[in-house]
Amino acid sequence: MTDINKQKFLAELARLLTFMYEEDRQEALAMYEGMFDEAGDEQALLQALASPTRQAVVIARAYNAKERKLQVHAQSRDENAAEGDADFVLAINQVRSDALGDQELKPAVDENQFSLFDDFASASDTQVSEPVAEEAAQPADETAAPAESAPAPEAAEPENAPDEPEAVPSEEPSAETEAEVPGSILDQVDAFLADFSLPDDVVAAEDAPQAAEEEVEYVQEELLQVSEEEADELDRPAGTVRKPKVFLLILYILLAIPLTLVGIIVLLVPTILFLALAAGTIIAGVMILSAAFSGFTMFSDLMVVLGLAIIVLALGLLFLWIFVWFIGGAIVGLVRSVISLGEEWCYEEVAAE
Amino acid sequence: MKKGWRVIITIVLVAVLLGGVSLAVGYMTGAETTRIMDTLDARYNINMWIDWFSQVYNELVVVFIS
Repeated sequence: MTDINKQKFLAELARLLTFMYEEDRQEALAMYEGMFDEAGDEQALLQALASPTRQAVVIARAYNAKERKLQVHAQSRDENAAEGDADFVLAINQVRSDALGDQELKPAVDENQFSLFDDFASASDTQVSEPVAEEAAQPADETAAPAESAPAPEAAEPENAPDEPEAVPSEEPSAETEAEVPGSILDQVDAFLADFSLPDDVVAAEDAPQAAEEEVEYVQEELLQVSEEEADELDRPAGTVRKPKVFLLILYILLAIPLTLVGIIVLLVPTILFLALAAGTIIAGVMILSAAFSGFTMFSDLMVVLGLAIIVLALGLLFLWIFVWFIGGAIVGLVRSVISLGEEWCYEEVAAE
Repeated sequence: MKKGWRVIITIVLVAVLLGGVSLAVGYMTGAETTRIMDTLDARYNINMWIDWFSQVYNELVVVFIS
């Protein structure tokens, strides 16, 4: 089940990232795959990532196709140019730090534990204060990590804030002893974020004036629309159901079938007529054409007969098309109209229970 | 269907135009209608078909109108 969810997530994300250049797309997918490999609990990671659509929106907001093209072009020209990470890479790293950072904060789930968040409040007192203290030590490094982390640590922060200077020295040894590995990884993630992460205001400023990013804006609108539809599906209780009005439906069928048959018979008369006209005209045209090349020796007579043959064949083609139109357009259209009218009159939309 | 109508009408108009040009060129270069009709009648009995169609038309008029 876990593998299917991961594969489904990655497959859906791959489908949504088609607006990127292929190399960037593969890089992004490889980063998400690495995220899954690093994660201890894949279900928790999937919960943290929310949905492929949301991740695609995050990446779309940080990805500028034209700037990326210029960046790659500049790097390929200037060998000495430092290869900086693209914005989308930074965004994905941000997501990874948020997701994996949340996972590291969560304690190991006990089999008997009812909810993943049962022990979170107590764990956050000891473990969340560590990154909060480090961020307090670096006031200039405003990252989105504390803002985008789980609500429980945010709720715990104001409670722990006045106690931070006191709590940190007393709890650091316990935090380190209790979980040395998560703490060291957390330090690495925080250090990485401090060096490379983009503040929210910078990302927002880059988003606004990009008038030339028509493709990205279009994709953003599509993705946002998709995410809204997804939200609507989640919010909608069960959808509407088409319910037939039985008596009216039976009455309509009893009346519509004979009337439709009469209409079809009426339409068949001109259909067969035009078929006969088309066949006769085409045969006449072919006969005149064959006579033009075998029966006439004078050029002037030949031209007259050729012209006549072309006109007769054109008329035959027109009659043939009218016959096809009667079959495919008129008769089929009549049947479809009767069916759609019946659906409109004899069915009603009822909210599903 | 709409696209089909557009294509067919275009083809028919172009063919009628070409046929008209050919007719005009033929008559301008000295073609005679009686000579053409005689040749076609000798080959396909055109006059017989014309007489037959006119009889059918008259019968239909008598049956449906009067």
